[in-house]
Amino acid sequence: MTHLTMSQILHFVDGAADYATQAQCTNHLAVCERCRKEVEIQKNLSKSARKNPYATSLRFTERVMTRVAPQPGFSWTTKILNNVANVFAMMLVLGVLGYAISSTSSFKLEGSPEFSSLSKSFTDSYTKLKESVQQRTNDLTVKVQPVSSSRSQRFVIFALFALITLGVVDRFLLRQLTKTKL
Amino acid sequence: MNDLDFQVIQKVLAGEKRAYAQLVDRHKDKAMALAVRMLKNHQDAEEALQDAFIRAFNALPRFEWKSSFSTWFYRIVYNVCATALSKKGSAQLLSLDGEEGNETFGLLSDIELPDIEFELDEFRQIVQEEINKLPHTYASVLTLFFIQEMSYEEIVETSELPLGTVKNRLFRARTMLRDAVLKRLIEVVRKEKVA
Repeated sequence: MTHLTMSQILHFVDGAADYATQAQCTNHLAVCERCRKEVEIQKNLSKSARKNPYATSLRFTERVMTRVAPQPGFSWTTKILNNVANVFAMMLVLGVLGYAISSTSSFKLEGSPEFSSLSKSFTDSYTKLKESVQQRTNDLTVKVQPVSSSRSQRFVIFALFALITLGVVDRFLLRQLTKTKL
Repeated sequence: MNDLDFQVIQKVLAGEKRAYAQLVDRHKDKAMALAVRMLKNHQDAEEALQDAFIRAFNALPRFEWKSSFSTWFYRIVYNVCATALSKKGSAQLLSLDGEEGNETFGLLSDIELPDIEFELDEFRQIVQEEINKLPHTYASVLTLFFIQEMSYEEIVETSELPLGTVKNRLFRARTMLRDAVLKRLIEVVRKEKVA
């Protein structure tokens, strides 16, 4: 028996054969097991070859778009609005800083006895803590320079604290909340 | 012309550049298949594809609507990959390899058809692996035919190869794939019998 050619089988599988070839193939396949098997294999091959196993990486489109149409820069108004939260955070931190400095100094507010007593108790606690640390240091016989808790040193510490707080608030919290690219 | 592509292109040309992301999303995965099968490397393929999308964007005002966006875009992908291959010293893609001429009307090969039942997933995996092993000249035509679902004429337009060469390459690719897959299946059956 003469079998179908590979070309005839492929045209038959693709549905690209003309009417006469289609009929000839159908008649032959009815009596030829080998060609039937071949048609089955080619159908499975075509079906499997149509599957696309490839995909681009997750941020591919974003990368292309950054190159072809970069986001326009923000206007001054938008920038100011976007940074209002930053301004509030800065005011909050500066407020805490001012309060901390004034409460540990000899500064007194006239006509505010609650504030003065709070300030005094904070200063006393601070002095006691300092003395106990000094005592502990002496016990360990480690000679260190006595720490002078001048106003300027406290200012530096609080300023550092303020900067760190600002950084944390700005970088993580605000950007997460507003989803704004600055 | 795909209506969605048409609308997006109109938007982009009207100045709405960000709309181009829709075209990228729609075509990137199928184009990736072509690039990987030509370059045989995922990272190189993604870089080539990125380059192709940027070139297509820049050339969009010159798009003449004579063919579909996908055919036009795949030609760019094909050319970018061909350039990358030629830089690597593989000029095989551009040569005709003596394929021009009569279409081969091959007879069935002598490999005995195994009488086995196979898991569809396993069969698919073997087919994909064997396509990847084909030389890029054949793998690219096969990918354009099956994944991009292009006609012979569209493949001719994309690859700029003569029709006879496209037909021959596709025929040889399918024959080679069939033989390679059957050999793998026979091996699988033999190993199972031994085990």
